[in-house]
Amino acid sequence: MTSDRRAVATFGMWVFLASEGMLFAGLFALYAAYHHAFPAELAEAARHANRLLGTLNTYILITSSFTIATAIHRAREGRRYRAWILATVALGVAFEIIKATEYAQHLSQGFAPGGHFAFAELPARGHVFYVSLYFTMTGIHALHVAAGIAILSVFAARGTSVVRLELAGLYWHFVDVVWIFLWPLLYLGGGR
Amino acid sequence: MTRLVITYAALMLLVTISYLLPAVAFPIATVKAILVAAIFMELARGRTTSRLALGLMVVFVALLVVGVLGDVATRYAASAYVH
Repeated sequence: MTSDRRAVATFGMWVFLASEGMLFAGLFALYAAYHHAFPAELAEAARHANRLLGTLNTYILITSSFTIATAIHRAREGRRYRAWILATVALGVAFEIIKATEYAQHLSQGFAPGGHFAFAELPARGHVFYVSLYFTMTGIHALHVAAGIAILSVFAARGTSVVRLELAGLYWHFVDVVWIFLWPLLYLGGGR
Repeated sequence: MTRLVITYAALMLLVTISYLLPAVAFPIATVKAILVAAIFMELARGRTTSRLALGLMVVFVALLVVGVLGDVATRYAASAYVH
């Protein structure tokens, strides 16, 4: 691939990521609006998020950004890189399993979005907006992680070109950056 | 490779600080995002066009959040949400 085509491919990926950023921006704006209306309720509901598992997932996802960056670095030097992609995939799967565990725990307690809210420790008014936002934002994010896992699994199995790996890496880092903001917002009582 | 390792170590440290001091977790998240974008996504030595796409996204995200917040802050009383 010529350097011009490579530059165009990279720019195209950035434009795609910018559009993805706008998708999440809408959700962050929605959170800001509900936070303005119900600051105390959102903060109180956020205390019921599983802070330990959320933090563990933050460590996992940032580690996965490091492993994919290392894979790209090694691929450029012509060294073996597939094990590093595989490590990234494994960390992504670990993230999803932990997320699913959190969901199961919340849903079994009635900590559920919208009309399904039946959490004994909180009244629905105001608090339910946090729960709906929590499931929507982390759910859409988890779907993005799943898409990344699928792409990287193919690359790990078949090998790929450096440029493709770079583009997949950009996407993976973007998903990591989204989580970097979701974590303080939804787990650490952010937005205050 | 050293750059990657140092960045990773810094990110891990920042996550730990955020966990211990949640009050400053959001500003720290911004620092972490800048680190990931600059080093892992290679914007620090990347092309201007990529930086332009990211810069425009940041501007539009800020416009959207500020616009929505400005709207709900001035148009409705909080009681309007109570049902």
